[in-house]
Amino acid sequence: MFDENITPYQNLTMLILVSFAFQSMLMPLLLSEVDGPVGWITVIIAAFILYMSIKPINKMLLKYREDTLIGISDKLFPKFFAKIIGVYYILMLLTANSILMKDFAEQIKLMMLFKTPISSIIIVILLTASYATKKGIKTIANIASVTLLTAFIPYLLLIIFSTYYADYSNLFPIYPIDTEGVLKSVPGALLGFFGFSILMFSNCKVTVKEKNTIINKKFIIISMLLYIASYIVIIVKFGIKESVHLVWPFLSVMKFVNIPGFFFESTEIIGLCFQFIITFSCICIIAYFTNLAMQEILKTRENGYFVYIQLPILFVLSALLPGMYMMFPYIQWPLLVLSGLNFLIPLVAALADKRKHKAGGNIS
Amino acid sequence: MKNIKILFITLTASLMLVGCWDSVEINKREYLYALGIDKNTDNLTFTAEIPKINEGSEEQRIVYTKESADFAEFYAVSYLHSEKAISDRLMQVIVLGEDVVRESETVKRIFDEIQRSPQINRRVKICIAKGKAQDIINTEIPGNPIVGRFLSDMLVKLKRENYQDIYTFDEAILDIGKTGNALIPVVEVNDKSLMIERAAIIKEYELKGFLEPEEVATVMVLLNPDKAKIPNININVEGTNVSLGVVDLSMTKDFNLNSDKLTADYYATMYIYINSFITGSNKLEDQSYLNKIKDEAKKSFMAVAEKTVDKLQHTYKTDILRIKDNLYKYHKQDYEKVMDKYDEIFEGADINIHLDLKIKSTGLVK
Repeated sequence: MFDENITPYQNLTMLILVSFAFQSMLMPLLLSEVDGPVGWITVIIAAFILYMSIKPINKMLLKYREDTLIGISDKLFPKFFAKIIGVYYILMLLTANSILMKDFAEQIKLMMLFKTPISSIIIVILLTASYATKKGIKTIANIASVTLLTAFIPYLLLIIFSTYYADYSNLFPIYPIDTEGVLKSVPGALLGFFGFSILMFSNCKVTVKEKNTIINKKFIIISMLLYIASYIVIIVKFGIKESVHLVWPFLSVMKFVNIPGFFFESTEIIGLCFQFIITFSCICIIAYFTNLAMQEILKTRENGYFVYIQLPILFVLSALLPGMYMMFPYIQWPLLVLSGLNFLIPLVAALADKRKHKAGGNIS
Repeated sequence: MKNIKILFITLTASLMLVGCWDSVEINKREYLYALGIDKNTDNLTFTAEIPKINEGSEEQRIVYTKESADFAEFYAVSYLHSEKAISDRLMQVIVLGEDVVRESETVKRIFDEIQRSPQINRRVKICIAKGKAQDIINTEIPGNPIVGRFLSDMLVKLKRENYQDIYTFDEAILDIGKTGNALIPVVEVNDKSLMIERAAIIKEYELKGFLEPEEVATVMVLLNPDKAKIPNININVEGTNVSLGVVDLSMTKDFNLNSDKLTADYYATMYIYINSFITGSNKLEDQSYLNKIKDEAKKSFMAVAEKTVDKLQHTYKTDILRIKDNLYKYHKQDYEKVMDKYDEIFEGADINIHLDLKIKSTGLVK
């Protein structure tokens, strides 16, 4: 009833926003894993890997125009494997959303609502997000477009003003490159391009599907540039030694915003408000695509009501999970598994599809 | 029915969304403008300055002193001793007493609390008091009675004009984090006012000593030659006093680390003009006399520069010139081999300043 299609640019907006939220959240990992300020090389490697895989994946997605990756898996793989893939994506999206929500709620509590219990903050976010999610992809895409204009662009502009008295020599040393650190942090950087997983679900909702390949490539490039720019802003402002100690680097960057003639009791709150709008949109986007994944698995006609199943799960998960910064020492392996699966499942599906069609072609 | 629902939700939401039920009006707040921190036998002594902005006068203030272990305790105690809410959102300057900065553990605790707090502004200005911070905060300046505002404006001006290297807390913590050292402005009582001429050398969160104004100027030249403000060079050539102004300065730096031997060469070209000479004399038309002026000026500058470098190397043993940072950034492999004994290497380093002086102009008269 609510399902309508979105334009290619709304798709692009959603992918960029979601990726940016995860990039901000995973930034401390990138800063601490690489010895020296060369994390941008990691980002370029991750972007290159994803860029190369976009073409075969889109070829497959274009063949099954109305299906998400879960629907396609159903047609390509045995039922059991298809179900496992579906369950994996649901669990992955739920976990990612709950971590994002927990992080978001903690920042709100720390900076704004000092006396409010974190569970109350999470409930309010969940209820508001679920209302938007239930409205369907059109509403979500509109929220994303509005967020881009009213929060994301002003947020990036605001960050520029934080580079006051920045030391650009902090970008050195480049040589010798910490090759081991750079390669070790690639899985984390791959996960930072979270839009890559979302596009497996969003591409089938786009009106002009032929544009998906170019839009997806644009997403990888824009996201990569944003990721690198964010990394550089933090490095030039704090230097690599100080950056590794920061729990929320962007929050700390906001504390340095210095706009001539701009008076607010605490300027960082303005930036934080923008950041919160972006994160809120991302929560809605991920929640919607979790609904979609559930719909594909359970083969229902509607997906809006699945948000009511998500609500308690997300609440419990975000209440149970420690903040992202507490998990950094323990997430090396989970990150490797998650980013590996997120990258390999669509690629394997694309390969299986190619073989299937080749076999079909030979028979005929 | 739908309209009634919407109306009900809108009304309820409008009541809830004001979000101001725990707000504190401005006249119920006390804004700290300046905070002095001194050390006493067991604890820290916090001296706070609060302007009476609520009573319509910007020129009056309250100063009070409390003993506390840290910022948190100071705020908690202040809250119980006042009918108003204490706010540090507009804090302009933190003055650390000399006795505080002589103890690295105390400085580390203070810095950590400021850095960790989501509330305290990291861009708060910072300076070190020569003597007690309390005396600085208590100073009654006739023209500008709010010490926080006076010091804040002064530190901004000194930073803008490159008289001082650091003016905010965030710069201090970043410098110490990066190189282990920082050059923090020193505030002193000057008759009925305050002055900032000297700078304190902090190494690993501990005060090592002070630099005199001309030494600070030399360090600023070596750190940031493009922007550094060099005071006039006053010399005496053949019985005549000559004052020279520096209009421009260009510099290249060359740092080399050969196993344990560090060599730092600064090649500076200073463009000067004659600021004041003596009326009626036409000696400035004589090239040999101009060369004598150049030689004397060079000698004068180099004497201070060499004394400063020597003081940094052998008295304070502190690389405030950021040679270490440069080595880390541009000679990382060599630096990593000696990083554990860098202090010794800095002490034994050959730091040479090669100065070339050029007289650009003799002013409007010959």
